Amino acid sequence: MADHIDNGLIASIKALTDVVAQSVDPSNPLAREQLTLVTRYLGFLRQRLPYQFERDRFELDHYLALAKALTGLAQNGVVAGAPSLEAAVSAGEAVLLSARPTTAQVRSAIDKLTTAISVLVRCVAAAEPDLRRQVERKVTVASARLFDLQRAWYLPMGFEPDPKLVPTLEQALAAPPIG
Amino acid sequence: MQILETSPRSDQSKRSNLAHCLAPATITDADRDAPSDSFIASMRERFPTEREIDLMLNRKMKRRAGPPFLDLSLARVTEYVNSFLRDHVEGDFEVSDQKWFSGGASKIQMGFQLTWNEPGVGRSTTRLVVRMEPTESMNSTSRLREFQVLKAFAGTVPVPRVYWVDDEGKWFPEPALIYAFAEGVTKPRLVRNDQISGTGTNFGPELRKRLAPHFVRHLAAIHAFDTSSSDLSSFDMPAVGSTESALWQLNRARRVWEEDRGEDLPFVEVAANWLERNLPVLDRVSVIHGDYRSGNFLFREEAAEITAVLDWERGYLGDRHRDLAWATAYPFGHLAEDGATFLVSGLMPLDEFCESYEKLSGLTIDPKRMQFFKIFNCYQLMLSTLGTGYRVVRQGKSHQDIVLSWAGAAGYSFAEPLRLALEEVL
Repeated sequence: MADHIDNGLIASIKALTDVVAQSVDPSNPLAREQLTLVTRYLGFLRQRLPYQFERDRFELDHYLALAKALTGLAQNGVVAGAPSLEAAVSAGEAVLLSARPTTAQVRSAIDKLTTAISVLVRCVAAAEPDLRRQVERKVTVASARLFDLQRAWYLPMGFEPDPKLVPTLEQALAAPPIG
Repeated sequence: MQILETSPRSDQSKRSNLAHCLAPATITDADRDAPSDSFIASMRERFPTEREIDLMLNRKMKRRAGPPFLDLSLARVTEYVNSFLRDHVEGDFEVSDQKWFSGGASKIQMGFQLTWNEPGVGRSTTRLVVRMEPTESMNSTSRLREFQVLKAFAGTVPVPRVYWVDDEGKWFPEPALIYAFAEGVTKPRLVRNDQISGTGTNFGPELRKRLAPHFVRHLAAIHAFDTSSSDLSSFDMPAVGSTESALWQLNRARRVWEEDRGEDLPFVEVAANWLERNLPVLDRVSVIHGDYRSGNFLFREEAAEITAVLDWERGYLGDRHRDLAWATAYPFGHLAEDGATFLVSGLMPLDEFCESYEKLSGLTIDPKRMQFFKIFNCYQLMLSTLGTGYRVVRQGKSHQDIVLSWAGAAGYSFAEPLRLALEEVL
C-alpha cells in the first residue's frame, strides 16, 4: 500500500526547506525560528504517525489497569455525584474488546477513565490517610510506564537531559501495565 | 458512597470542596474556551492568590473567547510605540532600526533605537526594547511587577534599565514594558552546545569557572535584598511564620491548570494533594526571581561577567528555596566532562553552589524546603507546558504557537523527576 500521507509530509518538508526557507528574511529571527520548528515538527510527525493508534490503545490499556486497581478503594473514597469508576472501566473494556474501535471511541474511553480517577484523587485529599496514601501511591507507581511512553514519544524534541535513560518507543509500547 | 473527612469545615467550604472534587467531571472544554463570568468567579473563589496575579488571570480569562492573535508586524508595533512615546516624551523623537528578538517561549520583544531629548542628558540615541505578551502566553504575568522589580534592583544586581511601563495596555494592545537593550549573550559562541541535551547551557570548563561566582553572588543578593527599600507595591507581602506564600503559588498553579488544560491527568492531582498538605512555613521574605538559571542572564564572554539578569516576570515575594530549587533543577544543568558531576545551571557542582550561596547571602538552605520546591517547580512546569501551552495553541492566541507546541514535549521531561520525587515521599 502506498502511503500518500507520508509522501505529503515528505513534500511539505522539502518545500519548506528548499523553497520557502530561501525567501525568509534572514534578519527576522522569529520567522527563521518558526520555520525551523515547523519543518522539524513535520519530520517528527512523519516518524510518529505510524504509531499513533498503538499509542492511544496503550493509554487506554494503562488507565484501564489503573482504574481496576483503584475500584475497591473508590467505593470508600468518592463524594456523591462523582463519575463512576466502574462505569468508566466497563466503557473502556468494551472499546478495547471491540473489533474496530475508532480513534474517537478510544480517546473518549480514556477521557472517562482519567476524569473518574482524577475525581477520586481529589476526593481522597480529605480522606483518612491510609486510603489517601493507597490511592496516591497506586497512581504514582503506575505512571512510570505512562511517562516512559510519553518521554520516548517526544524524545526527538531534545528536552531529555539524559536520553540514554529513556526507553525506545518500541520498548515503551511493549511494557505491560502496572496495576 | 461516603464522604470521609478528617476535620470539620463550614458549609461554604464543603460546597467549595465538593466543586473542587467534581471539577474534572463538571468543567468542559467549552467552559475553558469561552469562560462565563460565573466560571471565572468560581476560579477566583477556589484558588485565592496574589492580587496582581488574580488580575492577570482574570484578564486572560475574560479575553479567552476573543479572536486569535493576528497581525504581528514591526510596523504595527512601531505604531504602538510612537503612540506611547508621544504621551511620555518631551519634544520630537524618532524610532528606527526596529528588529524582532527571538528566544523565550512567551513574550513579544522588539528592539529599536530612540533618538530623543533624554532628560538630564540632551539629544541622544538609546537602544531600547519593548516587551509585551501576546493575547495569551505560557505565563500570564504582570509588566507592572516586572517594572517595579527591575527598578528596585538597579545598582544591586546587573539588570536592564527600565524606562516606562504601560501597565494597563492603554497604548499597547497588552501591558508593555520599555527597557534598555543590554549587551551580552546567553550562550557562549566558542563552546559547542550540541554535546549536551535538555535545556541547559554548556559554558565549557574555563568560562564556567569564571562565571559561576557571579551567578551565585547575584542570586544571594536578590534573596538578601531589603524589600522595604523600594516600591514593590504590586507585590503582596506574605506573612512570615505562615504557609500563605506557598499556598498563593500553589493556588496560582492549580487555577491555571483548571482554566487551561485539555485533559485530566490523575498524577497531577496526586502532586497537588501532596503539595497542599506539605506547604512550608515561610521563615523570611525574599524577592524571588522566578526563573533564575542559565539562559536567563546575559554575559560578556571575554570578560566572563554577567551584564544583565533577565526575565523577572515570574518574580514574587516569598521563599528563597523556590529559586534555589529552580536554579539547581536537573533539566537546567548538565553533567561535567567527568560524566558524573552535576553542574548547577551548567556552572558549578551542587555542594559548591550551596556553600557559596549560604556564605554570600547569610541565609541557610533547608533541605526539606528544597525538596518541597523541587516538587513544586516540576509540577508548575508540567502544568505550564501541558496545560497552558495546549490551550494557547488551540485558541491561536500567541505569536509563536509552534514554539509552545514544541515546548509541550518538555512537560513529560519534568513529569518523571516529579514522579520519582513523589514516590519517595508518599
